[in-house]
Order: sequence, then structure tokens, then C-alpha cells
Amino acid sequence: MLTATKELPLSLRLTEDQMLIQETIAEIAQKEFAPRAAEIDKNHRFPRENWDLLAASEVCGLPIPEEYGGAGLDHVSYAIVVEELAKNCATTSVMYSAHVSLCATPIYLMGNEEQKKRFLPPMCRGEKMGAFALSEPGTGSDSAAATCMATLKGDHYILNGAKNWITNGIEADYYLVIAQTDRSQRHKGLIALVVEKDSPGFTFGKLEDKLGIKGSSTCQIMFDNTPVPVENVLGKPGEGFKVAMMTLDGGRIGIAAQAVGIAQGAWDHAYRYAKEREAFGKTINNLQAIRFMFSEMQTEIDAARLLTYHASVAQDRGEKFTREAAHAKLYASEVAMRSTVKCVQIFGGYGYVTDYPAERYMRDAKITEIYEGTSEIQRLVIANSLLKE
Amino acid sequence: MSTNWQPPPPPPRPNMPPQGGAGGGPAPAPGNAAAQEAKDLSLYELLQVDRNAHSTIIRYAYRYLAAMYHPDNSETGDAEKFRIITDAWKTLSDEIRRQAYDMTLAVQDASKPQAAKGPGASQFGRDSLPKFERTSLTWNEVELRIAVLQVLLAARRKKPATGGCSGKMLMDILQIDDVRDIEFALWYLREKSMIETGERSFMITAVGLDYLTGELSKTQILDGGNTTEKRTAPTVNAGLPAVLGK
Ligand SMILES: Cc1cc2nc3c(=O)[nH]c(=O)nc-3n(C[C@H](O)[C@H](O)[C@H](O)COP(=O)(O)OP(=O)(O)OC[C@H]3O[C@@H](n4cnc5c(N)ncnc54)[C@H](O)[C@@H]3O)c2cc1C
Repeated sequence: MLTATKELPLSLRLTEDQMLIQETIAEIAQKEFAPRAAEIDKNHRFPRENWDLLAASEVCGLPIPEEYGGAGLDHVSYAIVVEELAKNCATTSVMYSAHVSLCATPIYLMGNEEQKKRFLPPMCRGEKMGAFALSEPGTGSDSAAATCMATLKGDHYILNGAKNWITNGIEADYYLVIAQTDRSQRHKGLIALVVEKDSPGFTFGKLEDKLGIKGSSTCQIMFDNTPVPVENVLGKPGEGFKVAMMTLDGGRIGIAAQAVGIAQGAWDHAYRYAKEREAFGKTINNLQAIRFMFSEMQTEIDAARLLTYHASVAQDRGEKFTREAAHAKLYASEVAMRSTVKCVQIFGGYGYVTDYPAERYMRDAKITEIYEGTSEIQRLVIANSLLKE
Repeated sequence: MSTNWQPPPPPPRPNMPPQGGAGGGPAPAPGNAAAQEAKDLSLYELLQVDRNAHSTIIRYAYRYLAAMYHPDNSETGDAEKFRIITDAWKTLSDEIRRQAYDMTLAVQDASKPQAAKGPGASQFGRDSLPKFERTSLTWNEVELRIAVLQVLLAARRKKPATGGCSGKMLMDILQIDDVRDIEFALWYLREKSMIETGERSFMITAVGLDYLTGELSKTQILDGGNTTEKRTAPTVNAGLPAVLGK
């Protein structure tokens, strides 16, 4: 076994703090987010009020140390929060995880002291929302082929080009943008910059009309001679690829947690339904075929959750966790898809209509197999890490 | 969860009062010191929650701190702190009392606008009311009317259609103990159509708002203290343009 030399978190028991945050967020999400989830999905509405509530709950900077305004908690707690949100409203979990793991965390990890002091406190307070811009119209998985250009002119970089599929698109305030300084250099030419919303020449395309997570704001962002001060460069020029990969490692834990949440949320709905619905004189939760579905789903969900916590623990220990995160994201997202399809099946005809939540969970699940590296890319990452000869 | 759950002390947070002595260390701060500290903090700060925190957060925060300070907790128990946070919890856990308390905070905010506001500080505090002060033990009649109108205005601004306060809330906010004081003022204001009665609450009318606007310029002069400072201080009328602009 390749991992046998590593200490595995064999007996994963949540700490009191982790249980407390789980209970708290679970309760708020059930009370406040779940009742609105269907409406948000139907109207494609960005739930700003959910964001405000997360801000008031002081979780917008959850893993960021307290000296920068965060809560200074561990990444297992972070995964727990994302999961509880996704169980009830996937849109809310997406907006939250993009802010925390795709923007605040990389600024914390790669930013200098001045940048951290400037950007993080308002982000942790929820006054400023973060976004991450790597994908482009012409290139997604192959991020080194980025064509959005950053040209140094005096003490500013001038940005030109477009970024696609930006989560929190129109709503965010800070955008962590990965741009190209020299195309011939491919990934060695990339640079990471924090672009602020009202910068000159910074505009937005139309909102995407998506299959799921419909309330989340996804759009193209465009730069036309947008000046970005050199103080906003994260790390050194040429380290953009490193920043992006580091960001995605952490982000994938968020997506894995989201997938686990969607799967568990679907399971919970299906179970409630199965206890009520009767067929052939008994409630369907007594039918063996249905019981087996529940068993299979829960086995996979638990395994996915353990992989997610495992990656989070590795991250908290300060180890390299690229492969752990890829394992978790790959497996959890595929589990989310399988589980939500089963959930629709358990609901029968009612699973196929929007009066019940089953179909929404199935639509929301699909994105977890795509963004922050598709399942194919996760397999590639895992293979590259496992099979380096 | 098990019922005899005892959380560890929470990690220290910014803006929080220093904790009593750690286990094995020096004895916890004497009770009256804790009470003194508590006086300077809002109930939200005492429970270490945001001003806009969801009721669930407040409940969990209290549960957490209560378990820590409960006198039965041999390591971190502190009867005085327990009493203080329990008092805070009694107010913040009751929706009506919390609302009434929020209004007193808004009034305090208005009288010290330069103080940095937390992110969650209610927006209603930000462009809030002009300051008014108690000048004697019983309210001077005119001042009391103005104070009542200001409180009702704050409630109305929060909820334009139905916002108001009960007589009890007014008494709490204005710290009036004798019901006759407030009854008399309410009688006057109703006779003059400056307030109207809603369902178990009083609400300011447009006439009341106009009266308040007119009266406020006078109170600046009537209100004792340094006049030059008053005139230059933006505090006095800070809220008004916003009020009228709405
Ligand atoms: C709702 C939504 C939100 C998003 N949010 C963000 C965001 O906030 N920031 C951001 O930067 N991006 C975001 N994205 C973009 C997302 O990360 C990309 O869509 C994703 O990385 C895939 O890129 P692509 O769409 O260009 O697909 P392509 O790269 O064109 O891939 C097409 C297909 O080919 C496969 N493929 C590609 N290369 C390989 C290979 N080497 N081996 C095997 N198979 C391969 C892929 O797996 C996929 O099946 C978001 C996307 C969506 C839909």
C-alpha cells in the first residue's frame, strides 16, 4: 500500500468545537436556507441574505487566523460547514466555498503581510466577497494555455482578456485572477493578481443559465486595459501557476464537502419520503430494493466524507495534500451523482417534478464533477502523483 | 449529544474580555471587576456574537459560555461571569426584548458616531438618530416627548408600515420607572395626532415626524453644555437628512 507509511486518521472523532460548529450551522441552514432553496433555484436568484447571515455567523473567514479577522478554525470544520450548507442549499455552499477556499485562503497563503492586512479582514467580516478567475473561454482544463494578458507598465500591470465561468461573478468584490505575462513561457509565465471590482475597464458578461446551482452567480469577466497595481500581485510574477494549483488543492476539499452534503441531503429527503409513501400496502422503506439503495448510498457517502476529512486533516498538518484532495473530490462528486440519481428513483414520478427537491439535488450534484478540475483531471492528478517514475 | 457535555474554553477572540485565570493559575478576577468590565461591553460583545447574529448562534454561544463559567465547572467556573452572561442571554434570547435592546444600542451609536462600527452593526445605527440625553432624574416633559418620538421613529424606519413600540418597551429603552410619566406623554402625543396606536404598540405619524424635526433644532440650544462644540459636532443632527430623505 502506497499510503501505508502515512499515519491515517483511523479513529476520526470530531472535537467538541467541530461538533458545536456542525450543530450550529446545521440548525441555521435548516431553519433559514432550506426553506428558500427551491425558490432560489426557480428564480435563479443570488441569495444575498444567506451571505449576510453567514457573515453575521462569523464563518466567512473560518480557516483564516484570527489576526487577520478570521475564526482561526481547522479545515475539518470548514468541510463540515460546507457540507451542512450543501445539504440544504447547494447554491449557498458554492458561494461560500468559492469565497473561502478560492480567494481568502490563497491570499492568506501567498499574500505578503500588507496584502493580508488589507484584503483579509473585510473578507472575513463578509463585507467583501471573493472570486477566483482561472478558466477562459478557450481553455479550461489546460490552464497553462491562458491568454488573458498582464503587461507591466510602470507600477501597474495592464490586464487584457476574458475569464469564463466565474463563480460569484457579478457579486464579488475581490477577484483572484491568474493571467499570462508571456505566452511562450506557458505555465511559467503566469501571474496571480487581486483585481478589485470597480477597476477601470473591468466589465461583466451575461449571467450563465445553468443546469444546477442556479442561484449562484456565474458569468464571464472581461478586462480592457485594466490597470492593477503591482502591490496586488500575489507571490512573485511567474508564480501564478503555483498559486492556482495551491488554490485548487484547497478548493477541491470544499467541492468534495459540497458533494458529500448534496448526497447526504438527497439521502435525507429520500428517507423522509420513503417512510411516508405507500405501495402494495406498506411504506416503501420496507421494500428490500429501496432499503438496499439506502445502504449503498450511505456506504458511499460515509466513505466520501472520510476521504474529505482525511484530506482536510492532511492540510491542517501542513503536509502536501494534492492527491488526498483529488481522491476526495473525484470520489465524492461521483458519489453525489450516483446518490442523487438514486434519490430521484426512490421518489418515483415525484422525483421528476420540481414540486419535490429530488431533481434539484440531482442537477446540483453534476457541477461537482466538473469545476475545479473535471473528474478526468482528478484522475490525471492522482495518476501523476501515484505513478511518478 | 450527551447531556453532560462540557466544552473546553473557547479560543480567545479579539474584542473579548480577558478570561479569568487559567486552570491552576491565579484565582479568577474578583466578581466586581468582571461586572465593571461587563458594563463597557454590549450584550452582544458579552456573548461574543455579531450584532446581527441569528438566534441560533446566540443560543449556542450562550450554551458554550455558560458551560464554561458555570460554577460547577471546577476549572473555568466563575459565578459572577456566569450571572453576567446569563443576564445578557435573557435579553437577547427574547425577540421582543432583543429588539428593544437594539434600539437602545442604536441610540448610543448615534451619540458616538466616530466610534468604529463593527461590520454587522445594524445599518439602522449608522445613520441613526440625533443624540438625546437624560438631563435629570425625571424627564422634562418636552424632552420626554421628543425622546419617545425618536424611539418610535427608529422603529418606524425599521419597518415603515407597522414599526412601533409598546409602552413597556418605551419604558425599558428610556429607563423610565413610573408608568405615569410615559402615559402622560403618550396621551399628549396622541391628542396632537403625533402618534397612532397600532396593535399593542404606538407608532409615530407624519405629524409627529414634522414636530420632531422642528423641535430638534431647539433641543440643541436647550440641551446644556458647550454650544460651540454642539454646533460643530456633526453628531447632533447626523441622522436627520437621512430620515427626511427617505
Ligand atoms: C458553474 C461553473 C462555475 C465555475 N466556476 C469557476 C470559477 O469560479 N473559476 C474558474 O476559473 N473556473 C470556473 N469554472 C470553470 C471550470 O473549472 C471548467 O469548466 C473546468 O475546469 C473544465 O474546463 P472546460 O469547461 O474548458 O472543459 P475542457 O477543458 O474543454 O474539457 C472538456 C472535456 O475534456 C476532458 N479533458 C480535458 N483535458 C483532458 C485530459 N488531459 N485528459 C482527459 N480528459 C480531458 C474534460 O474532462 C472534459 O470532459 C466553472 C464552471 C462552471 C460550469
